[in-house]
Amino acid sequence: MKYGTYLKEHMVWAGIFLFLLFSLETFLLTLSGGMWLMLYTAGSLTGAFFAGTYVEYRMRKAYLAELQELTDGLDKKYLLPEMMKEGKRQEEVLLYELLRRVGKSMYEHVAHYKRASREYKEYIEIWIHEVKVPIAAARMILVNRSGTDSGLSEEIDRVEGYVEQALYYARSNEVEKDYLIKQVKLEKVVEEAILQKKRELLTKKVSVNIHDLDKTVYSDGKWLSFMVGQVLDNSIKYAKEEGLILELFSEEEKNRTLLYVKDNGIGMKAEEAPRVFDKGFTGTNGRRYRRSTGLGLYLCKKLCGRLGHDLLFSSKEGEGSTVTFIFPKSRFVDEVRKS
Amino acid sequence: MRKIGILEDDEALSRELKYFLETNGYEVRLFDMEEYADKGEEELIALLRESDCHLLLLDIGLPGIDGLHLCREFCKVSEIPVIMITSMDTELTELMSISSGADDFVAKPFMPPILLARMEAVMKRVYKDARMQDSIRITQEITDGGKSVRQIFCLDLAKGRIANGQAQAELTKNEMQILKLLAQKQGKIVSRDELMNALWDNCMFVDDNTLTVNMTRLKSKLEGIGIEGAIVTKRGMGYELL
Repeated sequence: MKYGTYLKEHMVWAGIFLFLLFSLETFLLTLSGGMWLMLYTAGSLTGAFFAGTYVEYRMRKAYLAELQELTDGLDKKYLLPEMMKEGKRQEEVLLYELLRRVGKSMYEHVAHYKRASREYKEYIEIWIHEVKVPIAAARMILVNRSGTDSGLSEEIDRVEGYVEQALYYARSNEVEKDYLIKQVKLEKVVEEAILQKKRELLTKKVSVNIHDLDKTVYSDGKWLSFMVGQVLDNSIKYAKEEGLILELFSEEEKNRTLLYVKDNGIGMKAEEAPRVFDKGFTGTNGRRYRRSTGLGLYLCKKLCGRLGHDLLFSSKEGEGSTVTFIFPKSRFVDEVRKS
Repeated sequence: MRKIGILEDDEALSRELKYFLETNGYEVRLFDMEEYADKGEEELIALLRESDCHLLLLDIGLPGIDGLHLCREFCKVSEIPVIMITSMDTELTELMSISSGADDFVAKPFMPPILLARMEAVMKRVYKDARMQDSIRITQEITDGGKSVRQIFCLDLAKGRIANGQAQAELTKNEMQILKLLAQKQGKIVSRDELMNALWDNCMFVDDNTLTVNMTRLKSKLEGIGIEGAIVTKRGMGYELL
């Protein structure tokens, strides 16, 4: 806020003041008052005008600066009406009330969508649990009549895969906590994920090399094995014709544990690699292989964010890709466990 | 014969489950909706106990009944092991199942062989007695140059070795799994796919070459202790334990 601009914005007052000054001077002139008197009144009145407006300007500035500072300090800016003072002047009071009303209406608006999205998420969860039952039944039917299996199992696997993805997609957005962090054995998680993709992996004539997985991390086992499964899906999707070699292993560093999922697939163009975590990004490979949705890694990144892990992707075109899960180690937890 | 109780509200699934378990050598007691729909908790538990099952497969989301609660109450009064089956595949449900006294937790939709393996593992743990075999005795008649020879050897699953009266040999995990499957289907051809599947189900993620190598090693180990020609390769079809 600048004083000059403030004055410009109060042109009306300045105009009235100049008019009054002019009238007074003219009045004094007709009274044929002395030159000194005229100069004195002009000078003192002008001084008084500037002093008055300046004081007023300072007060406005202080008020607004306080508001600004308050807003800057707030993590969630929309809480400003809760934090600001009501003020003494009527316009301050009015502004306060206006902001409160705006905030309240916005809050109601947001709450409406929050409720709608939660209801939707709940519906999705229920729907998914419902749909898993017929999938389970279908799978049993196929096993019981194994003679008639003509690739149906694979299709059921695919349906299940997509259903699972939808479930985690619904979960990835929610603010509430629906995971459970505990000690998880990486070996178990990886085995579960591989088993989940068994059929597809077997048809790809894959060779799986898992080693150095006897480590524990803090995570939600189901989420993690879903994420590893998504990564495996990609490896399967972008495998080379001559066969897929998977390598899954982990490394322990001072402050973190790393889980690598490495394949020898077709890889990705260097300039596309940074965008793999973008929603819907499929790249040139994705366009060539129609089954890509561009959701898998996006979801993984998001779920990792919620669990406090990190996810890295690196790739060399024609040579393969590596996805790395990073689990930070908390010294606090270890201390507590020790004591 | 082991008797398995199933409490599951989806008709198609429970029917297929029954069929599947029966073809795998279990007796199945299916609890119908009509049987328990109008029963109180105590009556239901009494019904479950009276059925005299060796294992109970319990759904969590039964109509009008909280499976977890039922499990907790049931486990208070019964020693019968319980496996929870649910489509609520979260860590929390799993944790709550186990803390409710369930012996294991299997998420729908499950791979049937995996359910079977879990069931066997639970029963092995609970009924430590002889039924769940720790060793398989293999007897075969082999015609060698016109005359028939009988050879007997034993696969010790607990110790991971094979032995016939004179000598014994240590087997690796893979080799043992292969021989176990062949022994279970003795006299029938087992395809490479079946072997692969069984190995993968037990978390041994082998590829084609490894299977070949394992097979060769297994055969040579058998020969090493004097068991000749026990496993026959049927080109293009698989293997057979005579």
